[in-house]
Amino acid sequence: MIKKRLIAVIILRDGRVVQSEKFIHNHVIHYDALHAVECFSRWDVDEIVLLNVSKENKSKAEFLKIVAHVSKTCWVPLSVGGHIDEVQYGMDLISNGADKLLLNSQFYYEPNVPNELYKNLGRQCIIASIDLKNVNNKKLVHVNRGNHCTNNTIEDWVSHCTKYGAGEFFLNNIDHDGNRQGYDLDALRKCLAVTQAPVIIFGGAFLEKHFADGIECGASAVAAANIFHYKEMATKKIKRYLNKKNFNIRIQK
Amino acid sequence: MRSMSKIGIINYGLGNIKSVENSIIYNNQECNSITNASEIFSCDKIILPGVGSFSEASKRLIDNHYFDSLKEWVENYNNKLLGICLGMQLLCNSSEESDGNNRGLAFIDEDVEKLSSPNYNILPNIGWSDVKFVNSSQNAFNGDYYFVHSYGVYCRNPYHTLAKSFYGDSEFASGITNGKNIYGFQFHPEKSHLLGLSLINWFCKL
Repeated sequence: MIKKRLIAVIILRDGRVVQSEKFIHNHVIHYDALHAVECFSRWDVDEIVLLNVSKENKSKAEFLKIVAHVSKTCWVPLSVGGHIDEVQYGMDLISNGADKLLLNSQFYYEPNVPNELYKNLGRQCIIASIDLKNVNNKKLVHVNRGNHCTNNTIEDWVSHCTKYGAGEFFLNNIDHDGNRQGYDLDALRKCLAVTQAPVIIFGGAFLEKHFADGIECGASAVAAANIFHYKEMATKKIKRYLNKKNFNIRIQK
Repeated sequence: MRSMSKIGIINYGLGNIKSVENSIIYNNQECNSITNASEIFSCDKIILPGVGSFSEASKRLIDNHYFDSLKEWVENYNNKLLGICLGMQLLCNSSEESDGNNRGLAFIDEDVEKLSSPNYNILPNIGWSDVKFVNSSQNAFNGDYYFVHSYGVYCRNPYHTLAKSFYGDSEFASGITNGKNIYGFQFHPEKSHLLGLSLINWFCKL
């Protein structure tokens, strides 16, 4: 039986690991991506997500180099995302050591990109990253790093992304991002109700309990970024906590 | 003393070639990326990786003459073949996942089916899952490995089962073999931390 996953998200801006709070990435954490990947890979993490949040499209080439570099010693699955606006770039990321691709705005602006990648790589390789934000008390899907409201609800967007090849979902709520108040479980429930695909919940986890809440609610994987950088061995501690709570998770031998 | 074996990874544009390569280098072995079918004859170990759709992979392998070459190559039992993920599925006769060409290598007389279980329906099946090797001499390899797939093999012939895992309540073959020189894993040993790396090492030393 497949186990619930704990995922560490590493957010890179211009090649450096940064903290994320409501999608503002001003605080640089002082070590490089390789160091972060190596630590997480040792500390019981089940998967690593590497996100390029640089504003500039020209950051793509450097990000590709970083992926090639970190994948050499990354012995857990590596999912990568950011600026995958061409099919060839997605294929290059895979041939340089990425295992799965996260796409977000492309499902809105150029859905043929995820669709072509799906045809080449299969659905299991394509993660649709979905960002929600409250607008007049309604949760709506945003793209372009949270700057553009698509006016779509989560339910509509999940079926749209599925149509264009998504085999997994990475769900974030910008209002929860970095707020330490726990995941948006309401959005998670809505997402789970309309898909059979695995759903990764992200944004807002700080306490051990938050991770348990995500799994209990039905997420296939619970993800976090900031907390893992600041609490030494946080990933191991969270795993131990989840294990004690009798969740079906992997404990490294 | 036996000379060090020559390991080749078939690079037909549809695999996580790099990850497999990295895991072999980790085990202090050399490997070659193979882009031409004739090159397999200079290797005594071949890894067939693969992600994506069965029909596309099968088509590419046929078009690039790998089917015929591999058939000839595996007849020498000193040669060892390992299929990973889709590469494992391609060792079988056919797959239910067909939108066109449905032909496998037919090295192991089994067929690939869509995963199903009475009370569980999350697909694709992504994540870590327990693997139990059938032969007690391989107990050291029992443990969690990383899977990412929607189709799998339910062996009709138990002799072909190398390892077992569960999807929901249904048990499938997470490892298969022809009992001689051909092996396949549904999971990704190259992405399954230290345990997976030790399994890669096992194949390198076969």
